[in-house]
Amino acid sequence: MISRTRLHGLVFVATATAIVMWLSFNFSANLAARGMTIDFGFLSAPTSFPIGESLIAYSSGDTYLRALTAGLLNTIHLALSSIVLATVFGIAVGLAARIGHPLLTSAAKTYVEFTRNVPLLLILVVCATAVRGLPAPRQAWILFDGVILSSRGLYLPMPVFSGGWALGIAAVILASTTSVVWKWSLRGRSRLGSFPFASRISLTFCVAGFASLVVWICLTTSMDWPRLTAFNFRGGWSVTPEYLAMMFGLGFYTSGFIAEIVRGSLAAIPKGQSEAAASLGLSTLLSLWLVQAPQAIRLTLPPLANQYLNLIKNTTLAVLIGFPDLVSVGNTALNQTGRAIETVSIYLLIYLSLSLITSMIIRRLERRAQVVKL
Amino acid sequence: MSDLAISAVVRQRPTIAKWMGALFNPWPHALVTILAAAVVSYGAVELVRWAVIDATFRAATPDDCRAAGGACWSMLRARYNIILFGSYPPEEYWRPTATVLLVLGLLVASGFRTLWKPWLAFAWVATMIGSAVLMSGGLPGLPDVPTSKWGGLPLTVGLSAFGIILALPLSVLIALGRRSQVGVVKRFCDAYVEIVRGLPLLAVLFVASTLLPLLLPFGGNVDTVLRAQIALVLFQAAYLAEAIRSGLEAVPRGQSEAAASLGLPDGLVSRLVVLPQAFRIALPAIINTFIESIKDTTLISVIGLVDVLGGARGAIADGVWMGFYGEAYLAVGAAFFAFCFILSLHSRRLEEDFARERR
Repeated sequence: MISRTRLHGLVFVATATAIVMWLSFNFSANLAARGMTIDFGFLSAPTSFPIGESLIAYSSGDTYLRALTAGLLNTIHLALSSIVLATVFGIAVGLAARIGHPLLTSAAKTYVEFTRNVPLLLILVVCATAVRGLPAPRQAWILFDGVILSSRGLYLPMPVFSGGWALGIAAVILASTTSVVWKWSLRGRSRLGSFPFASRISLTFCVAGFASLVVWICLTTSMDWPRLTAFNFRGGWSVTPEYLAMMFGLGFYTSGFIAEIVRGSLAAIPKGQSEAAASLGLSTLLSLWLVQAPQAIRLTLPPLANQYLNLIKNTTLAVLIGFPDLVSVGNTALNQTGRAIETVSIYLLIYLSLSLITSMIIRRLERRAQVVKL
Repeated sequence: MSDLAISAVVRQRPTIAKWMGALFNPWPHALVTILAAAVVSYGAVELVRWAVIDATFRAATPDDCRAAGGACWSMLRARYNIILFGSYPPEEYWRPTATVLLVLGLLVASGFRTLWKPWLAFAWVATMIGSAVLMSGGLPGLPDVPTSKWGGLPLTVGLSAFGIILALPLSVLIALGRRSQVGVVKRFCDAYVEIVRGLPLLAVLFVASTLLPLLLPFGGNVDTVLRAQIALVLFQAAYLAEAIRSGLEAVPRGQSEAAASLGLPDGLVSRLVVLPQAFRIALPAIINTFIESIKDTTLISVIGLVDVLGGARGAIADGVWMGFYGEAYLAVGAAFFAFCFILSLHSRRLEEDFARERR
């Protein structure tokens, strides 16, 4: 006699198979009726549209694959900088809520409620409108020497490293040697109570190495300053207004959620901890840095990971703002080629793998934070 | 226990004196207070000047507004119809209004725990059918209005409310499936939740708008509004399933064991004992998902539907009222904020109620 769970499993599989077969039958019938085929060959065909900004060299006429890659890189670039911005803002607002000043606390609360209860798209649209109101290049705002904000975007001076590969290789060798020496010295210190003589000498050499690396960088690096030409700025490092709007909108929206996580996890630490730290004579900042933050970070990581994942998914709203991320490039490709199914399946594949990669990284970080727990 | 011990346990309510003390007490606080007071009062003065003193309230032309220099509330007066109803025929405005009132009324009714009876489910089904008929027409006395003309508030309210209501039963099935002893069912439900939660809603909307017509028979004449609704339901179901699963996990094992020992079959254990408790615990999380889904509904503009935000963008997109972004976005933002904030207050109150009852 067959067991009940077995039977239920069989029924489920049979139903699911029937539904999938029905759907695929419809699918092939509809494809045939519309004369459509599924073919990823368009990826190697030449495009006929430009992309506003790209991290890799791209021009109209390159392949669709290259256009989509440029879009994907834009997505990743935008996501990374927004994550940094959101984290910095979020931690600042979360800490402001913990200072104990009533006005700061209520300001932080308002900030959090605002981001929670207003649609992200509205915030992004407002940012995009604000960016369009920036002054023309000739009346640009010069925030600092070389930092220029105008309707053409943000221009920053960019260091040009002429040291080349040798500089990078030297830096990597020096950093890895230092980390090995440092670990070895720590082991020596825990054995002897203080750093042994040999490790003091080698640490001195490491410091000297870093100093000479800095001197080398300073000697070989020149700054590329943005300068005004007829209608625009040339040189330096620049981002477009759409990028700025997306970065600030996403950063602002996500920072409210992060602030609440930071505030909540600091509040969840028993009061005895900060009282004990205070009675040991630690200042408020030191108690936060050495006692509360290391414990709070363990509570912070899982919800923080969720917010980072949300932010990465929310970069897709760029299509409504006009920033060329993966979806907006993909939609242009879709409109040009009519390859809807192929483009949409590329979206699904890429966003699923982005989500999986991010959660993998965060899980690894979580494990490291757990090791700290004794 | 002596009176002294009791009075020590009673939490001190912060008095005004104490509150004032925190404003100035360690001296850096005083600096912050003064700085904040300066910024807030400057901001408030500027805001009042823009929004009230220099503003134009009466019916006026854009040029009158520009001359006055302040906020142009006349724009909202002239264009409220596009923001609220999109391109719905003006002589039929009572129909979307009635739909929105009907749905909002039922939503408010669903907030009261005393009304949680089986008839509420029937009321929702009736409302769904009723509002679809009311909006699209086709009956005598109700002229046909194609869905391409729908827009504004009915879409925002309808898609988000019906989305969550339709996603609820689906998500209960998925959440129960994730606890199933049948391996295939469990793996399928796990995969569904993980995959959908890994995807952006925008991508799901694209999938729905391109793949749904191909997956259904009859050449797939699926209406755009229906596609958006299906995408939202499938998307929210994954998030709701996660909320309900956390509720299910919070129900002590003893409850289902006790029910089983009374001789209840598995189905009844879930229906009568575990689910009601899990639902109660999960309710705040469910309302939070609802808030997210209201905010997410703005994304339907990507498949060509016009919600309230899309309507506001449309109202200032033509040549006449161009440039009055602040007023339009402020009005829409305030509406979203008010609605979502009330919901989140309600969710917090429910959470406190349940926490108190469980003690």
